[in-house]
Amino acid sequence: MKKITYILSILIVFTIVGCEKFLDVQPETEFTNDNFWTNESNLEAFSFELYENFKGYGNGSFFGGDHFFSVNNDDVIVLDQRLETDFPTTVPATSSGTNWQWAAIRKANVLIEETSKADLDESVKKRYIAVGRFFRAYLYWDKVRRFGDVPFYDKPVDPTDKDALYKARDSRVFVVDKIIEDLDYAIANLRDDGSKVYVTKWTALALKSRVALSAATTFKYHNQSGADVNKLLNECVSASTELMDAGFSLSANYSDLFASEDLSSNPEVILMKKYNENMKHSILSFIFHEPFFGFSHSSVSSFLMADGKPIKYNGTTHPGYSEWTFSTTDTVKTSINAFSTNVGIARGRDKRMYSIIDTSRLVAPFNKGVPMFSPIKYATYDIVKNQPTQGVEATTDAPIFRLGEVLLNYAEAKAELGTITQDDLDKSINLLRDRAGVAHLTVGVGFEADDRDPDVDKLLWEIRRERRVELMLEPFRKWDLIRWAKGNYYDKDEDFYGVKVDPSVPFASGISPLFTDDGHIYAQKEGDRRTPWDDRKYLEPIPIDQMTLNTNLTQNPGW
Amino acid sequence: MKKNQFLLVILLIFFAQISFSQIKVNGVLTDQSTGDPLIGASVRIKNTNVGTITDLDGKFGLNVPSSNSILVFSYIGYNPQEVVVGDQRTFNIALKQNSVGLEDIVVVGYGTQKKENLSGAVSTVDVAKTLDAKPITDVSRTLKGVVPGVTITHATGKLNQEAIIKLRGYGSVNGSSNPLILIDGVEGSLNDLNPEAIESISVLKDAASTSIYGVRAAFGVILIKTKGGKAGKPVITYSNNFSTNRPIWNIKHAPMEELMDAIHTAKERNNGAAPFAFGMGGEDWRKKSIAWEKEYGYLGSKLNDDVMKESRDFEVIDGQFYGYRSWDVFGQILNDNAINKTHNFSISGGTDKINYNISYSNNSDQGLLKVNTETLKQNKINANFSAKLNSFTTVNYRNIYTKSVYEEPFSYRLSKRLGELFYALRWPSNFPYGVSDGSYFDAPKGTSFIGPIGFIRNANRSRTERNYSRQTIETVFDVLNQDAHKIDFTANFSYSNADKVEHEKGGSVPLIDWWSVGNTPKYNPAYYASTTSRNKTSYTTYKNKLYSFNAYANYTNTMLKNHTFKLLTGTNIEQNDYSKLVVGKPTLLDPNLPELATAVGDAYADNSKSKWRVLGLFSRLNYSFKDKLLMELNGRIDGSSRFPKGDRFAFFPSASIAYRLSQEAFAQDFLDKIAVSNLKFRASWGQIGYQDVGQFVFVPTLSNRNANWITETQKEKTFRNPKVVSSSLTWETIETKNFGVDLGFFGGALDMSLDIFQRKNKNMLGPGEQLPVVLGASVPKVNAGEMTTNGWELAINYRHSFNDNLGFYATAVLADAQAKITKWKNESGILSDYYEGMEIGEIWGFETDRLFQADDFDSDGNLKEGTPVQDPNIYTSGFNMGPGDVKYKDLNGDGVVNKGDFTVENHGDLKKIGNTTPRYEYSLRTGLDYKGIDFGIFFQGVGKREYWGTGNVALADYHYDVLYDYQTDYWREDNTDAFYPRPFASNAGVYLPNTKNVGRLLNGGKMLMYGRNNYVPQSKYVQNLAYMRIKELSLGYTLPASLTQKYSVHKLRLYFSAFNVMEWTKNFTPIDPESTINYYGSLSFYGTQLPQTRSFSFGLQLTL
Repeated sequence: MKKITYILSILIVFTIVGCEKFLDVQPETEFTNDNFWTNESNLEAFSFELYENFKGYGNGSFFGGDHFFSVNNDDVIVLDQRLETDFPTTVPATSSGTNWQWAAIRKANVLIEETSKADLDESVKKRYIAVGRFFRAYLYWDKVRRFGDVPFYDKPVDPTDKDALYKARDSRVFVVDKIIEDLDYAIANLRDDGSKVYVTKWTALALKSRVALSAATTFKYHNQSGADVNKLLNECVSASTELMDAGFSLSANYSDLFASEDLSSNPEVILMKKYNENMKHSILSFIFHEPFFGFSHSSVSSFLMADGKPIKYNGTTHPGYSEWTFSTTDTVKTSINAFSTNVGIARGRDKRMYSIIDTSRLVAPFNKGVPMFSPIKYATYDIVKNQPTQGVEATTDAPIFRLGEVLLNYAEAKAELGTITQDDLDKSINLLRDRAGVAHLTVGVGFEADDRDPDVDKLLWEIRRERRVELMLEPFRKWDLIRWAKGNYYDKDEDFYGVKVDPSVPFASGISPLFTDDGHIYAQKEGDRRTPWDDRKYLEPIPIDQMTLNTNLTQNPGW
Repeated sequence: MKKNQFLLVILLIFFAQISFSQIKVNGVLTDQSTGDPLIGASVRIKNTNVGTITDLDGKFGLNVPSSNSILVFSYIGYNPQEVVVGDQRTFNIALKQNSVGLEDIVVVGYGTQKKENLSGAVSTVDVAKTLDAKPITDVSRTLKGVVPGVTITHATGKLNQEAIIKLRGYGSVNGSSNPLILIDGVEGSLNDLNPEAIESISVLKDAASTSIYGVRAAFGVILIKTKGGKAGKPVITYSNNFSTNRPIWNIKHAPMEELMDAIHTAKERNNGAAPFAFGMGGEDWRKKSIAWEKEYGYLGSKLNDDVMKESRDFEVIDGQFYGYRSWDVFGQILNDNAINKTHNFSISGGTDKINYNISYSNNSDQGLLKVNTETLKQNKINANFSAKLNSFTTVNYRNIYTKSVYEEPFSYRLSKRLGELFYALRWPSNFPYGVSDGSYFDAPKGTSFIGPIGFIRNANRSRTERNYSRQTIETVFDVLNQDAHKIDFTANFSYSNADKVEHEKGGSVPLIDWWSVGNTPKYNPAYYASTTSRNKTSYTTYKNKLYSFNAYANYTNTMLKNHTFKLLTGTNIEQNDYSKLVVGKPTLLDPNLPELATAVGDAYADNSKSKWRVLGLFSRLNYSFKDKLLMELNGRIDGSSRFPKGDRFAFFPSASIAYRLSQEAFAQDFLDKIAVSNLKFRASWGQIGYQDVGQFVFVPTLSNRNANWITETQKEKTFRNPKVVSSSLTWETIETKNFGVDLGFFGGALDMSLDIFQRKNKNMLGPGEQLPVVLGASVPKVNAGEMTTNGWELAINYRHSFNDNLGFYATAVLADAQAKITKWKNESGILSDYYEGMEIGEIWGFETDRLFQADDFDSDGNLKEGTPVQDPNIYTSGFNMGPGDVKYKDLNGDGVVNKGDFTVENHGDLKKIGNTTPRYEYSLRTGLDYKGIDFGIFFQGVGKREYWGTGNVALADYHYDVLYDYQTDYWREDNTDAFYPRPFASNAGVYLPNTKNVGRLLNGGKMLMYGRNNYVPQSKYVQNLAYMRIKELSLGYTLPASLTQKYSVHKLRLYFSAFNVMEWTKNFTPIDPESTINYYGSLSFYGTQLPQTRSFSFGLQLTL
């Protein structure tokens, strides 16, 4: 009997072990965390999702681009306050739909952590840790500029790690230090070949140039305690210098940067987002059919005359400047295209004006009945002439990092440091001016611009003007105004003056603009008016549910 | 003792065939009443395993050991007889049919049970009445409404539409909660069975009945047994059915004048400069369209071609197209006479050793599209063979083979999700639906003004071929067959293989571009529609293999008088392998050759595979005391590959008890007085595991996708973060309590059965504790939710024969079930997620007060003081409130009509305005037969059900460019007491909740509430989907046997039958109440799928 029990026990054990084995089914067509981190190509594939954070002209869909879409700033008049999505108006109840999202940072941390544990060649590991750290820096900078202090995580948060989940926000000074550390690692370990579709040493330098300047000026103009502004400015100068000596040069033609099918041989581009038949974008559709904004008075006025002087300086109007009056007898055909005559407002001015603003016609965006100048940047006149049909999809490549911005960063950092020389200007701003057909900027400036903000030094003003014009419609202006603490620019009333129109000009039915006393179209209707600036908008609010869940989180000022 | 018995069994197995007797006996077994020989009846020596069965003439021969031996004669359905051999050598025995008919034997898990001895909740289907001679090839369609507690829905009338089968209401918020369908003990699909091959269907409903099947049986089991052969000469049957099918469709465009008025009114309110429709517009367009209809009749009834003539039917002015001709577009698209044909053959028969039943069916069905319609051709073979190797060994072989070929027009532009009728329902009747220069009209790529007909008519035909085959081999040993002890052992192995190949054939279609935005001229007669994504061909192959092994033994002990024990124990092991392979190539050289070899683009390919395994050990003990007290205990240990090590195995117990009061002597007198012949109380409790929570939920997998990043030419493949998984994930447990009463009157002529149940989904997989989003991943699910379903079922049967000539029967069924969330982590109580107390299917909306009238407004057009303010978020831009708009009720009296925080605590003025769960499902089948004529009618319906339908069909002027004939009662100054509000240009959009949860809302059995402005979800415009319909009607005539037998025809019946004959609803929308697909895109349409059909058919049934 004992024997039988013994045999039975063995049988049972074998059965159970056998059953366990029988039931042990692993995925066959999916990787698991146990077998994924085994080779370089998997790491590379894993990292591609991180590249989607470079939105460029959008991720193959109508919305969601960085360029052109993030235009809620004083360059443009958005004709519907509901399109003001850039700034939250209330504290959101939940995090969904807000920028308080952490999946991408987790992704960067997973890449860093799993790569360091992987059984792979040291140099491969370093390269992919560098990719992870590059993106962690990129993503954290976005968090810092939006929220200020944010909790810093250098590894993927475990759902059971209460300390990490419920920690307080880290000071943005600390987080910026971490970002610079990550970028220094990335600069040292990323590939340094000429690729423009992978992040390289040069991309990391460009990001460092951007982040160091942005952080420094943010800290400076928002009186951040504990920040070493000059150290950051110098980090910007050194990173920018290294890039400026790295063999990149400006694109001969400004338009080529934004309306080319292939940017890979453009000498100015450091990193680009490639579009082709397999991934298209819809920027052109917005330009031709559904433009939702027009240019503001101040952005059109900020373009210099070819001699380097603004349209109004020393209290007088530049003699070469022609006023914006329309007296054409062209009939207004549809609600979209109101005029079709070149008005010559760009004559004798900065050549970039032709490449950015479509001065050949007025457009009434969104049937709002207010004809305004609309954008041409990201298209060409050739494309405009053969107006494509609705829903047009294009395959032009998007520049993500380019030398032009680095030059502007360099000049601004030098000016902020107070160490800028004519040589500095000549190797930065003046290279851009050469391309734009505008006379050189000198350290002494040489005129008093009527549009200058009295708080801003003359030279710095011109450097900022250069930045505004060169980077117009690219995703910078909003962030520039925020770091300079110049949110008040949003409310300048004269910005909403549109074109001056002869009262005899016929308008299509449905187009019924308001006029100012002196005959300008008043571009923003009551009720459509942008909500006035409020200093609390310098930082975004933390969603309520997150503050309830984690009582260590504090709200940003004013919210 | 036990040891001896065991040895005996072994000995018997090996030596049973050796004869050691001396006395030879023989004889004939006959039916006592008819005198017919009984074929295959059993003759056995009592208390031994020695025996034989009768041959084709009912004869037998047997050697018996001694004259003291007792012979036992038995046959299913007959009372057994015992005779002592004595000196007798010839035994001519007439057996008497017993009162327990075949129909009173119910197939239950791994066995059968007498109906009177059931203690669980089990329903059976009257197979003959439900399945025979119907214009239906999908068994699920005829089962609708038949079984109390089983809800079967078909969302559309497409030929290949699969049924959604739910048992006792909504099953689980996770995964599918379909009942397990077992065909001869192995999982299968109703669709693969030839209806004529089905012998019986039983539905196991409570956990006590289903737990023996383990994890996949959590939501009930449908047991189907196929027909086997009987000894005797071959019986050949042939039947056929020819049916004509028409759509259940009652929608037409409103007369042009009304249509134009509505468009005009809507446009007036849109203070922008939008054109009327697609660039057409203006007074001229309106006048000419109305004039056209005056001249050529409503919807062009006086014209019968489909050619658009320029200047008569349309004009091109300044490059702009203007259409005037009005079309009966549904008449153009829908076919009123789709023909379906079915033929069935079967042959069955056998000898005393071997029998067989082979049935074959062939059907070809046409779909409802008028042009290029879908077709379905099916061939099904069911073959069962059984061989009795010796007195205790039977081998069964069963085979199912199905081949189906489905063809449908390739969907160039009509997303399948939108429905075939989406674009037909989207435009006014003067949209250019016709042909010009041989081509249909369409607006080019990138525009949404799509002509619905050209793409269907000119499309290539995509083809889906499915082959399913299943082989089962089974051995049954009658190990021991003594009177007091019976042991049998069954082992079967089954292999099923389903291969499906979808061949999509795209291409390009010539069309007339009548509306190109931005181009001059806009009218461009030469246009080829061929988008890159549609100009392709692809093959998708699915393979699904199921290996199933069952082995079980039954032991019956009747040794003690009054006590019967039955013990079942066994094992069930299954493995399922699934794989999918897609290959395709874009850019066809010639659309007529849609093959990979003749396409020139870059080929693409992908695959996926998955596998699951289950392993169970089960046991059941039945005990009955004097057939009065019945008890059953079940237990199953189940293991599933879907769970992590350590959580793989679980034990699920169940028990049931029944008490037959009618068997008690003390109750007899009383029960007789009230004519009660049967009274039984039943109660059961049980738990089953539910494993269908998704494959590999516990493994940190990395799913892949194409990143929006290109380094060379293709989007790069990338991987998502490894899933964050909970370390303690395990089964959901489904616990069912059931209480039932069976009541029979008048000796069984009237019987009824009532079941009341509660089902609890315990440890339901749901969200864990909410964590801060800094986690950067979705919080892993945990076993934390609970759902409770309460319901009841009632079935009543009545049968009566008047003087043998006139027979009458009636079966009525009524059932109800509603599930409620009883535990769920949703701290904020947001209504877009589940919350505790939520009834599954509930719809939230406002209560409609009335339409605003002119005197609600002051002279400036503002609402008078004191009127509650309606939340501006309800309204789209440009909507200016005025007379004729909907006034919602300020239920909480705070002076504002809004949704509050959209939480349980604060839902503003929202309330539950309905529930999508079908409630009070009922049916009544009744019929008569008289001298060969039979008549049957089947009513079926749903007592209560609501739905929030959106789009033009559900709501007048949802978009402003179309109006249907039943929607003309909208608010105008001369019609202020209207049903519909004043038209507005577009009411699409989400007011509540936000769109993020759409996918989950749909899957979770919750409704997304859609609509803005005057059509925010609200009580007035909720669809009332309660209905009653005559589901079936049949009339047959069986020719007198005296006549047919002259031609060796055993039976010949001619019949007429109709399906979905008519229905009664109180809904304000004339859409079939069973079609409920709603598309939740930006346009969101209700009723755009192909409708259900009405069928009228005839055929014959022949038995040789």
